Amino acid sequence: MAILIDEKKRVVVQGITGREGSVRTRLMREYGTNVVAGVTPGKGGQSVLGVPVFNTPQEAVNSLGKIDISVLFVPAAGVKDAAISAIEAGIKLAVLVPDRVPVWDAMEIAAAARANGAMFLGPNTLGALSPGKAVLGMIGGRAESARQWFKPGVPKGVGVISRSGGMASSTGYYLGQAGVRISTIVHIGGDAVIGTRLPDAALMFKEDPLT
Amino acid sequence: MARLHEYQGKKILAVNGFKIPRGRAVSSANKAVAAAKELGGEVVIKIQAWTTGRAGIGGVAFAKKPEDLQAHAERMLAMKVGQFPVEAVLVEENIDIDREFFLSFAIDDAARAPVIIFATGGGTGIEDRAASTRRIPCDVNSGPLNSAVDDVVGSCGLSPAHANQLAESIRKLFAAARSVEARSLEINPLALTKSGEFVAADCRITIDDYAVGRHPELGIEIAREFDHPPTSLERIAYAVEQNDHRGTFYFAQLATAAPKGSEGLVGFHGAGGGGSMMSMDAIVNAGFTIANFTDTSGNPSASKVYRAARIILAQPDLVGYFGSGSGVASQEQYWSAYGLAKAFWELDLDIPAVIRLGGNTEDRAVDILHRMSKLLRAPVEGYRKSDTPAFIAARFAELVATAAAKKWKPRAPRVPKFINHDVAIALAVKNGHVWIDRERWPQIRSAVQEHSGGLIVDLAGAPTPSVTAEEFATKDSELLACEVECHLAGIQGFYLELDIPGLDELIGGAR
Repeated sequence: MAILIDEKKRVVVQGITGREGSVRTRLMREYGTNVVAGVTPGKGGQSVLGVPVFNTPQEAVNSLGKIDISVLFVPAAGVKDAAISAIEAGIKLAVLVPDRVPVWDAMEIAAAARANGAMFLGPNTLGALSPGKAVLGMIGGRAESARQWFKPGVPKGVGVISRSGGMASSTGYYLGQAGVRISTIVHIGGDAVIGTRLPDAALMFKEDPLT
Repeated sequence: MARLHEYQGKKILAVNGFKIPRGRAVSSANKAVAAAKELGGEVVIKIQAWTTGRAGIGGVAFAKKPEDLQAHAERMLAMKVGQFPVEAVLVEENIDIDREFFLSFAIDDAARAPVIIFATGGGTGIEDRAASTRRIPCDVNSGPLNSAVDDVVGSCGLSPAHANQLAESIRKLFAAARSVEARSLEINPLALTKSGEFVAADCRITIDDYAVGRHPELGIEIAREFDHPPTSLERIAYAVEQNDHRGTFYFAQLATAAPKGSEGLVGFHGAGGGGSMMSMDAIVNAGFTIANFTDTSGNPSASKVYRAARIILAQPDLVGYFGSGSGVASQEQYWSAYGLAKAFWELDLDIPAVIRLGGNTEDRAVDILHRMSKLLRAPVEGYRKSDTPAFIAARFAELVATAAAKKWKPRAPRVPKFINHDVAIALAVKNGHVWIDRERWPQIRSAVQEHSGGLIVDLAGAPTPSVTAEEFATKDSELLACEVECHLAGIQGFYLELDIPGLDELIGGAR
């Protein structure tokens, strides 16, 4: 088991046609993430690496059914609208990778999440990674590195939470060197207002029987 | 967080419906006296400085006659608060206060929502009376919760008219904060005058750094909270960051001289907050003084790392260059290695450099640095994720000792003679140009084609981009790598010029 992400969760990538979005989509898929759709306004109908692209998260949900998670690779100024559109389409977890998201935008996203029973990770997060299962965002960078660095939490593993992206992957790596298995690594982000705070992540790990 | 002065904050309050004392900010004693004459009656003069407790340091004075203001203004405009000289004083009518209130807007990170903190009795020392404050939760869109406002205001024992005004003030505070995307906005005191009006007698605002770009009306030059006025180098660095949003670049100067007993000034180049802190601790524990904090992270372009290195090496008297951040980086580290290698080569580095680029592609990154080291007068050593900050700090100390603590002299970069010349072909990239020596092209074309990954090809005997001009312009990092590989192979005739506005003038001026 793990928290936030495993290989079964259905994931949409917002900003999939961009430089960062397309590269990260490939890396997430190589590691095992079930990316079922991409979203870029105005580019619906295209496909990236075989992943169908939609104009909005709602269109993706209408066409493909339930989507669990959206990972955002859009410019900071566009994060608020993109995240709220995902939350309003019924997606229950938004991963806000970009940094420099204005704090008032983060608070508006938080209000939308509360109103819709959704949650978010970030802004300014490298994401989350459940070793041997799947990754959201860019922890580990390359799939081969992530496989080498982090030991799957089988049958059980330790949970890692950090406000620093570098420390999140470093901690995971050093644990692996010491032979310690990991259930999930969560980079919660360093901004003032973040969707998932340290106690929130800790409580999720507490509920996970295999952490 | 970007900070505004009291007089700037009060303008924002006035726009949002607050009554503020009549007055004006001035920068000379004569103007202060003139302002007092205009106002008439008793006035108050206050330094415009980012500090609390201004009265306690002589930053607030009252004057019954305008002439009395001269000496106060002269004294205040000669004051220094922290590293900041006082550049303005605010001259205002003195208001007749009956009661004071404390009103403060903040962002509650646990609630992920705005909050307003209220207390009866304002003035100094509010920090000591924290227990008596009340919190008014706010909705980010609709503002303070009405029930909480009514509750707080109802407990103040005010007349219905005054209670109504106070409730309005609380709502206006939220509107003012929202209008400028404030991180914090404090009115202390909000004064109820003897004539029965609520007046904002002071104001402190900080603005969200990430939102400053949406508020040009605020005229904030550098959206960062330094403990000193921004230096010329910090201004140059800030402009670089604004011109390239691929990854993050932060530069702040911390020291310009090593204190007695220090092993020397170090140019510091980190990557990622947590790893940088560990690395800075390691270099300080080894006895060194950090000249600057620099962070290039979040998958920065090679060009950005190059510019950061050039800016770090614009600081005189460094005994070495220490690069270490997150040891297990998710970003591709070889781009950073190329950026550093170009800067070190151009500046003919003659102080030791120790660089830890652990994480993805670390072997390739270390290999680039070690190959470049052979062309330089001082050693450049590359390290990986298995090497701890403490270990590489100790190694750095050894190299500095071997170099007898030779001190760095900032210098202009080595730039080939053919650029800006008829014989050269220029191809535009983001904030710069690729220059290719036309005369050498026949000899170097196969190498350039190979090292640029086919971005530049030969077309009818001339170097030509193989992609559209628009796409080519975004390939500055790939072209930087091409230039470094050409240097390493001893090939001349290819140069990537990357603009850093103001840097050459600054270094020239320092000589």
